[in-house]
Amino acid sequence: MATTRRSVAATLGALLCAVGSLACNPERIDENGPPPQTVPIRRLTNAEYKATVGDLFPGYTLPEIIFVPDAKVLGFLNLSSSQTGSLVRMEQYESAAQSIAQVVTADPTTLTGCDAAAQDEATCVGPFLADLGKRAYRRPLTSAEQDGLMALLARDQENIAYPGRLALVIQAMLMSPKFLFRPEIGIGPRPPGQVVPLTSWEVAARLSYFLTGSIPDAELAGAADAGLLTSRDEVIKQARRLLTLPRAQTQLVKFHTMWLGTDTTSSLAKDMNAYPKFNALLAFYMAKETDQFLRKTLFDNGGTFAELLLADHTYVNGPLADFYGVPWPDEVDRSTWIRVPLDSNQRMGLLTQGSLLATMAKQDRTDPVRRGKFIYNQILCRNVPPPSPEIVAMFKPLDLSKTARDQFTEHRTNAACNNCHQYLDPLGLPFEHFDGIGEWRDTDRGMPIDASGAIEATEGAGDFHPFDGIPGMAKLLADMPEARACYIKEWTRFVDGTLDPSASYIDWMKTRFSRNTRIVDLVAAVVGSDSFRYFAPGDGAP
Amino acid sequence: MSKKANMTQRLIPRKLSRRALLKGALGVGIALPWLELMRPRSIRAQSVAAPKRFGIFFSPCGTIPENWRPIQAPRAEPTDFQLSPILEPLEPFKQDLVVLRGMNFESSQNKYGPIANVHDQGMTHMLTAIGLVKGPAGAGRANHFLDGSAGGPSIDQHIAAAIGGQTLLPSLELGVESTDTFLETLVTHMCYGPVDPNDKYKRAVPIQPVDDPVQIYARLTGSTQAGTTEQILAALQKRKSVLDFVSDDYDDLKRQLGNDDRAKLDQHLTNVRDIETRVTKLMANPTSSACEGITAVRPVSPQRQQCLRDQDLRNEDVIATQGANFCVTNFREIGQMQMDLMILALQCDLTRVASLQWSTAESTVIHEWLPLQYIGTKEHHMMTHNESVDVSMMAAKVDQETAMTIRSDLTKVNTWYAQQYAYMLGKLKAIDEGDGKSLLDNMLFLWTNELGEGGKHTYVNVPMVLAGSCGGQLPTGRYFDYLGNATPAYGMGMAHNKLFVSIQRMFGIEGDTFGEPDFKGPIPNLIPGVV
Repeated sequence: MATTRRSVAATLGALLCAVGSLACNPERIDENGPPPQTVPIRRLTNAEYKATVGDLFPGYTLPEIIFVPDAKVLGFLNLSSSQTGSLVRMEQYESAAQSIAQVVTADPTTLTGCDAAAQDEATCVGPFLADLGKRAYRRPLTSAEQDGLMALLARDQENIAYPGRLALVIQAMLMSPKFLFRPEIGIGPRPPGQVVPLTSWEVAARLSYFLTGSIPDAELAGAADAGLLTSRDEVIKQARRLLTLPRAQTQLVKFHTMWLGTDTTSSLAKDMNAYPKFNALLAFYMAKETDQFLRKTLFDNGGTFAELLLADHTYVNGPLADFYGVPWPDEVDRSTWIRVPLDSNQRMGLLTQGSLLATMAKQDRTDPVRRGKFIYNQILCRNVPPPSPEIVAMFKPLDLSKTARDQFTEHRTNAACNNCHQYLDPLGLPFEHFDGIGEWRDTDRGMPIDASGAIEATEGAGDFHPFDGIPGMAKLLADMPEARACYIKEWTRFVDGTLDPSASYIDWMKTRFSRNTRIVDLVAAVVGSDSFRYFAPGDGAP
Repeated sequence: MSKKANMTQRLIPRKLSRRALLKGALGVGIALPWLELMRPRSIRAQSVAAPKRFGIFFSPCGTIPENWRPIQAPRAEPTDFQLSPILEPLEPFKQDLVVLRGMNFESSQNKYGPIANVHDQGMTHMLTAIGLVKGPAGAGRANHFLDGSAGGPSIDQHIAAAIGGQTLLPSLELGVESTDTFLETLVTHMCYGPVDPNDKYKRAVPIQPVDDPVQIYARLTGSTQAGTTEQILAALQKRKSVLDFVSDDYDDLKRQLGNDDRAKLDQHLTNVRDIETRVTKLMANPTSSACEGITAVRPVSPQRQQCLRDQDLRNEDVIATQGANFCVTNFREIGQMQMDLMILALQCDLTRVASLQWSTAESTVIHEWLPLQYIGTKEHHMMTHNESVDVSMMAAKVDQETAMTIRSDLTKVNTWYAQQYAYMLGKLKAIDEGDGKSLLDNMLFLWTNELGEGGKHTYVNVPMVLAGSCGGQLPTGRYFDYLGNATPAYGMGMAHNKLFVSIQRMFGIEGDTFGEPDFKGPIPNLIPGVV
């Protein structure tokens, strides 16, 4: 599958075509991309399970569902490789399925829409199970599956009343791996070395779990039923529709906070002696600021990657405005969230929001190494190994009376340290105007702050580009293709649940993602790629 | 929301509460009145000898060695010793104890496996005594292995594999704030099942303890029955029908998948089959189980319900009116409930292997109810960073006086954990199991830590205490010092692998090794007849 080169303009034009404009010809879009990869089977995350059962049984107040926490690896909760089984989790699945089934079958007539006393059970329940099965398993039941469920329903009729038996069937479905997992089997045989097209339903499930964290809604399910989602155009059309839903916005915001590591902002706590201003409410507001910013930037304002980094504004309420030292208009109620401009000498975009600055800091002071490592790992997807035990043995206690830059002189003077810290410190020390809770400070306890830094433009080339302050760094990052490639890599982790997205896929996506590509158009490019509608079978395919 | 929230609201009562808003965090005031309704089975009434139990009590962040070390004259008999200030709460049970000094995690040396962050190492080696393995995600912040694991099972799971089939739950792992979303995975749990045969990285299956007494309660009630034999059988038959069906679905789906995906399903199918086995066992003996009354009350506090309903953004009104973290975790109260539940589970013979994990390595707990004097951060782990005048990773330099203050505070903290252990010993000892033996007598109850001297962040000279004679096998009322006046170091002391060999022998598991095979044999002269 060769990729053809296109001019940037043509590519952008092609992307804009995907909106559905009648004037362009979608068939001319380069839709190939690199060979689709193997995506490991994923289990529903705890959040996906809860959203799914909520959607399966709308209108019911479901019982409290408790599961062991999903493992968080590399910031994400949905990586397949960390979804190990455990006895406790399986007990919890059994218990949840049982209590949900009990609640919804309290009145079987309402649930199934028919009275099993008036007709016979099979006539009544058959269609109901077919429909529930299709929604729960995200595909139509096979006739064997339908028969199996009906057989389970009929078991032990002398001893178990109809509602109880119906509850057992629903319980079984909610414990089935066909519900708990998202298998991808595809259409047709699997000749070795060939990619396999996903079924329409499988594409629908990918779309819905990616964009809404739950099962396909009625319209998407309808498109799946009609077999429409093997068409790239239909996939993009559905994606664009879903993107207008609040749920999708929440989902994409969630990706960003996980990527940035700010999803736990509202749980942050700081040393009250060092930062008396910080409390749970402030943490809550900081989390909300980032949430508002992402929503408005990505969806209302058609934001681009560059804007995430370079925005000249943010969103605050009264208390947060006070904290940032931003004037608050007298006539506006202080609990409202409004957009305010930023002083571009100090703050710019996501990187200077309280959520990020406070998360990437110690309880009682800043953490420039952590901040530098954050930019290095999460924005550039570069890595340095942790210090070896021999190097750790060389650590000396810090002199906290000095500025951070002076505390870490050894990072520069000792070759063993400098090996790695030459990359990290120039990215972290420029944050020093922001204290451990994200407040601006001109000096550090009266000592001047040197906020100069540098980014190595090409990894390993030694071509360091200097900058001063975070706005300076943000401007450089916004122009680096590597930063966009990193964003896509993180994105793909979230979409596919894979630990290690393929380099060829990332390279290809990079060509469709310029600094001015709207993030919502990036979604279209992702779902429009062959990788979304095809997959490569894994080892030992049946 | 038109409420005007402002910055002058009531400040958080506690100084620092990092752990406060955990998903599934717990409310206060979960009463357990039903404990009073327990009428546990009288083991005496049975014709079989009381079963042996194994328990683990974990407290984190090492100890202050000079205040932990028992007092013993040179060349004194093992029975001739005095308890230290930290161990003083155990005085009433001195005759039931074996105190062990100089225990080393020898297996944590470089030659036995990759070196992870010091807290990953300690927490993982503590009960497995075998080299770690890395996972595909490699290492992250401060060399924490992001998805690594132990290279083998923990001693409790090893014993559960041998004896767990005799009880409804093969083992029970309880935690108190063991889930901390800020900490990497390997510091948060200590128990491991066997190595997953399908895992190409050969990682042991991690077992996360359950922090919520209500969930522990659900695990116990899910394993007990109430009602007539007929009712019990009917309920079990229903469960079995569903489990059979689900099992078939796993097989059906597996047929359609490739190897890697099949392995993932197998991990889960194993658990379905385990539950099915449990149900089958219950069906063979469908009598009301020992703990009558356990189904009587299901306590869930309204505060916890509120916490659980929250998603990523919290309810601003609640924060504003209740000030700080309304998902109050109440470390002590939850710990109390967990201790009681663990004892109940053992007493009712729902399991014979149980462990209680207080917090995690890198514990962020602030023991604010103790009279701590240090004016800096009182998080447990951070105090160990600051208390040593020696160099430790990224610790700030403190003067001698401050170091002494912190060490005194940490002594109080460790003494508090000794009091909790003593509480459990008291309750266990009060349970009569016939033949003049208490539940404590029939048990082996190990108190261990993931570090030795907290401030040094090493795993040599790790403080360990055994309580109970395991059915008369272990002579108690003794103190063994394998270190003497030497400086703690690898090679100076006793490899804890050997302790685990001694322990496994007491549970009928033969074999000369546990964990790293380099370390052979039990601890000499600990158990008569065990060499």
